[in-house]
Amino acid sequence: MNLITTALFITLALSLILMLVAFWLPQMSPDYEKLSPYECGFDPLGFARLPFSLRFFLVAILFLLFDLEIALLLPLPWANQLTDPLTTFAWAMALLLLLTLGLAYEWAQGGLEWAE
Amino acid sequence: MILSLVTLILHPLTMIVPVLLAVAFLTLLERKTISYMQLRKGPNIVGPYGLLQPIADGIKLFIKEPIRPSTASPLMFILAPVLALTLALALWLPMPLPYPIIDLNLGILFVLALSSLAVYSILGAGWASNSKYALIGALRAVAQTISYEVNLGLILISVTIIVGEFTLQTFATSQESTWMILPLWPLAAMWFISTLAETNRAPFDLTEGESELVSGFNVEYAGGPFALFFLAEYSNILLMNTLSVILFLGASHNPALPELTTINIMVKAAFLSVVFLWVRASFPRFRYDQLMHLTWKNFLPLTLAMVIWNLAIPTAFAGLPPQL
Amino acid sequence: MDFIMYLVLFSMILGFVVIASNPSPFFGALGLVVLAGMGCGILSWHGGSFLSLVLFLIYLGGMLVVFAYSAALAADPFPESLGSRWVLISGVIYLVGVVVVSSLVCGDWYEVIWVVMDELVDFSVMRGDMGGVALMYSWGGGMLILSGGALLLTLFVVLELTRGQSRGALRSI
Repeated sequence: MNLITTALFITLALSLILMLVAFWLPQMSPDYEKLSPYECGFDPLGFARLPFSLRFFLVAILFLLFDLEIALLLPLPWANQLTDPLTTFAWAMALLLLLTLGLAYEWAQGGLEWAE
Repeated sequence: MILSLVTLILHPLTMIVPVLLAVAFLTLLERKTISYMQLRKGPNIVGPYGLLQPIADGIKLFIKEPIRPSTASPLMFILAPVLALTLALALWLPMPLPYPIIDLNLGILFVLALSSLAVYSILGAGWASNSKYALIGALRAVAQTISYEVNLGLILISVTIIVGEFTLQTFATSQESTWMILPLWPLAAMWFISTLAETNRAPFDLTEGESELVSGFNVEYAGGPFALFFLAEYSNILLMNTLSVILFLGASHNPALPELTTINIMVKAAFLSVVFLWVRASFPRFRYDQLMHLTWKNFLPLTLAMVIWNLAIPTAFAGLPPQL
Repeated sequence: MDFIMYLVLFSMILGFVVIASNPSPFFGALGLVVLAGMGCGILSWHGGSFLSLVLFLIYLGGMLVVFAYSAALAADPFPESLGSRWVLISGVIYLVGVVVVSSLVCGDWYEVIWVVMDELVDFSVMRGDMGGVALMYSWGGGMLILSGGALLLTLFVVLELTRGQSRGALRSI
């Protein structure tokens, strides 16, 4: 056993214990009205599972692309310790230019407009 | 045996228990600060100056009846708050205050990776509740969190290029002559705003949006499970501020008085937390398209440019940080 | 240490079973999260700490978030949870299958294939995965630009698919 595993287990165990206490301590008296989904005083209408929203999907995809870019940029602190930092700089510049180009194109095409 | 028990179990607990206490008193601080800004008294009945209010609140939350809605998926509904609190506590472990509980070479990456998991607890809670308000709140919260996470990551890369390593203690070493906030003030400002958005605080608390969404992804939660979400949220606020202090207001270590390092860090973090509360008391809520506009159209191009800038300046002036 | 490794591998198999037993996409995403997390755990225990953290960041913090998010967005009025009958039955079948197959082909293959990076520590000044990944910015530059170009291409494709109310291939609802 090392510290990182035990520490993670302790945090997990603590949360689970708090959860158990939360369900064990109070007096439970459930009834139908109490357990129905919250909807401002009336019975819920229709299903809660929504139709697909393309706007949110686009944001998620954009996040994914830039997250991958961050992953490509992560070795930079080590990379500019190589024998020629200028080469590193040139490659990093090229990569960033490519992605800025993508961002600019998307901006120009209106992919970043939330309200249409 | 005893020694290993102490290191393996007591050391993490000496971190976690004070964090939970700090979270409790942060809620009191928040209520007090906001109420005095609005010319009210705030909690002042339970204990002197309302000092026992957080404890009373905690007891109330844990003896209140938790609800498991009949339409919710049972397993996911319970697991989401557990995941939220586990992550929020685990994030504290690599924090150097000034010595971390778990000493990692890639501490900042660990923090970034773990904090990106917090999205799952929000999404799980919103989806498992099977309620319209909860789901819409969760979707908004996730879109907001992941958008600002891109910024946080890019800002971190800029700072690590200056610092030269991903180890969190190195940030203190590299800031011995000056605070990082002075050379990198645009990044520091964007970082602070992004942490506000990342922790879903006002003025970016669209996920709560009382007027339209009641309470966001945690509408269906009551009592203990809600308390877990609450603890996780406030622990994340404190954590983000501590991280900001380590990144930008660093070098809390005074060679003459090394005992004061922890106090120094936490005083700065508390100051930043008060700024969080001040912002909450002062600003109206953003509109959703303005929120997205801010991160994708303002912060993202700026941070991208700043990465190149921070790469170019040390290279040009032969100021690359030493390795190892 | 071995015990943790067994636990991690066991959870990984469980994650596989959860995905394979075909629940609703949202629960499948949950299984994938467990699986990916445990995979990163195995990697980091064998010395690839940078690699495992970056995988964790991208795969768990990026791709799976998007997947789970899309699964949550999609309308699915009656999701099949892990406790549903057919999911449970196929899960049990897969578990039994795993036990049978692993007892049949169980061998020493992993001792040949897996080289633990920490065992090489006497021979190198830097950790292999960290020093190696830095070379992406000198000799591996072509690869770097290729990856960047792939990201750009994806951006174009997604944008063309989803643009606007009227013109894109996928109309917004």
